[in-house]
Amino acid sequence: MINDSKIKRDIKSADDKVIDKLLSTVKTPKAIFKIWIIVLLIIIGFGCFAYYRQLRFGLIVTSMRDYTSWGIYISNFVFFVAVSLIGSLVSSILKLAKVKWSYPLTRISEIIAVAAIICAAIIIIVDMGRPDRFLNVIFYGRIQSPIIWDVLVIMTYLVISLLLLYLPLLPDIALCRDRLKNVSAWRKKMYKILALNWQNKPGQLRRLKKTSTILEIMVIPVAFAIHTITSWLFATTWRPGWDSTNLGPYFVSGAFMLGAAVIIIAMFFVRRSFSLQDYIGNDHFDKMGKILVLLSLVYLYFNINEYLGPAFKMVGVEGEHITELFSGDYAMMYWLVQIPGLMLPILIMLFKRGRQPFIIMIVSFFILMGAWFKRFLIVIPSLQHPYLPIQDVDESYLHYYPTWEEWAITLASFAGVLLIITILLKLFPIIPIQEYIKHENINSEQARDI
Amino acid sequence: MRNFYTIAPTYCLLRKLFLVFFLLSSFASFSQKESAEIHYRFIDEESNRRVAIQVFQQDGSELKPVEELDVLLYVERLFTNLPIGDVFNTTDEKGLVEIHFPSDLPGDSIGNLNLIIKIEDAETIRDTSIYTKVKWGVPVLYDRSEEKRSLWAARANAPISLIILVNSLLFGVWGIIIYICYEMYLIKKE
Repeated sequence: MINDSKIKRDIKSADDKVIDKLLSTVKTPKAIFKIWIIVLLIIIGFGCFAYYRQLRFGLIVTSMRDYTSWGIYISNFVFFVAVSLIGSLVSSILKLAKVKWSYPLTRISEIIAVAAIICAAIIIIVDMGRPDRFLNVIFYGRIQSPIIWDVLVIMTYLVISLLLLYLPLLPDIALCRDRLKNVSAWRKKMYKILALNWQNKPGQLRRLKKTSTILEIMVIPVAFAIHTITSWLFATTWRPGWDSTNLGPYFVSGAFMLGAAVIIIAMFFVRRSFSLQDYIGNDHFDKMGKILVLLSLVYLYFNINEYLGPAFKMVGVEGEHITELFSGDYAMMYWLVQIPGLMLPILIMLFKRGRQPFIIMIVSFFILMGAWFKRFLIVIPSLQHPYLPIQDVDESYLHYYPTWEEWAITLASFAGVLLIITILLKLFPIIPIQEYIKHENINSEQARDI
Repeated sequence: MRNFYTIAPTYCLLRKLFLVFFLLSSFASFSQKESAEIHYRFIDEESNRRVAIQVFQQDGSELKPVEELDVLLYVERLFTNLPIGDVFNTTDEKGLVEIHFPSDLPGDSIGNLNLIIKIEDAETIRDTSIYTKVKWGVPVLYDRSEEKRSLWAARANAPISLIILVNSLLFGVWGIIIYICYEMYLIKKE
């Protein structure tokens, strides 16, 4: 009996240490953090100035013209939608599969998903020449149009992602409310409101478990839908390179690969910045690396399917499009995407050394760059090869080089994603504390039983 | 700097003078133009259809035909107006011009065509337009099948199956979201 109470006391003291350590990430930010925020705000400010010019002078300030009517805004949108799928990969698929090692990564992945989907929604509005008419899409849109499906599914996914981030946070927000004493008044008030009167009561725990499971199941089809419908925006438009039944799974598999790479990069910097080596270990990198290899192989398989057919037949404009990619104006970008952005990472990560934190972070960065340029290659070269011949047009219609305004807005969108991630990481515990303690206690009980 | 201050008022003055001159000259040129009276008649002789247009101008107490005046005749189409006749349809000494009218223009469901008779940029006559209607078109009955429910139809004619599918998916997913929000409310109240 005495022994039991001692064990309980030890556990409580260990739990307190874990809570204090994991809550330390939420405390008052350091100077470097503030500088980082200022840098991001400057980039966003510059992007806002470019957007002001776009609003004032119209889309003529971009390089988009009659043929290339979708530029880097849309490729960036597709990229962000792809990144947002990571939320469903880690926080629901791995969780439902009861993959125990993945739970310290769930919050990071949910935060990335929320940040990416918010910026994806914003970038679509940036692409509109008349953003004031956005609501017309809702009021007068045709239900037959994939664009309407995309708008509906993006809004739905945004709400689900927010709920998926927020609900499992409730017990940790309650910890912030109860334990953080030296934080500003507004943060105390925010934690109090957001904690929804959480007291770890059995009824609350039961409801939380039920709603979390529903969300984890529901997010999977919605996540698949969001990227499949995004692919249909292209697949239902008659252009070379898009006229493919393969496009939906091709986009989804690419998104999962990109998402896994993004989470590895995030893990590396989060672990380093917040000294979380005890919670995000080398083992996590190794296991995420194995997942990334698998997802990259699936994507490679779809890539082969996507290009082999048209390249074998080389019919008309499809053939021109393939030639343009393989050996034409876009060849350099295309092969950089395929080799250092896909094939080399697979080879490197097949070896255990290649899954070491620093190496895999660099490899993931290559995958991320490759994935961004891949979206560029999906959107732009296809638009420059319409099935009807281009005749008597201005020279500027034939090429597409983004203007400084487009680059500034694109960079600002990246800064926006990073800003949202940084703020959320600083406001809420990065590692799910209650979940961590629960798992650790189960592990130690199992160890004692043995 | 001094030069700048001296030049600026001069420039303003010149600009105002130019504006006044411009307004006065436009008023003077407009006031020289007078309104015209346009008479028109539709002549249908077997397959030879013509529009006879006669232009008069008030000269004291009597109407005087306007000679050597270009008259324009258009048929309204969906996006723009279709010019009818020659490049120049010029009036003779009686102020009359007859313009041949094609017999194969598609009209509305009973063959009506909307016509516009115009006088533009004439020296002494103000710009004038007359809108009228004639039943000389080929009646066009639109294919009703285009209005059937289909993927390519207008918003109001979306396929029922698609409307049901999209709405049931939306209601299903948003129903669950609302249920989760309700559960959150119960968590707060617990």
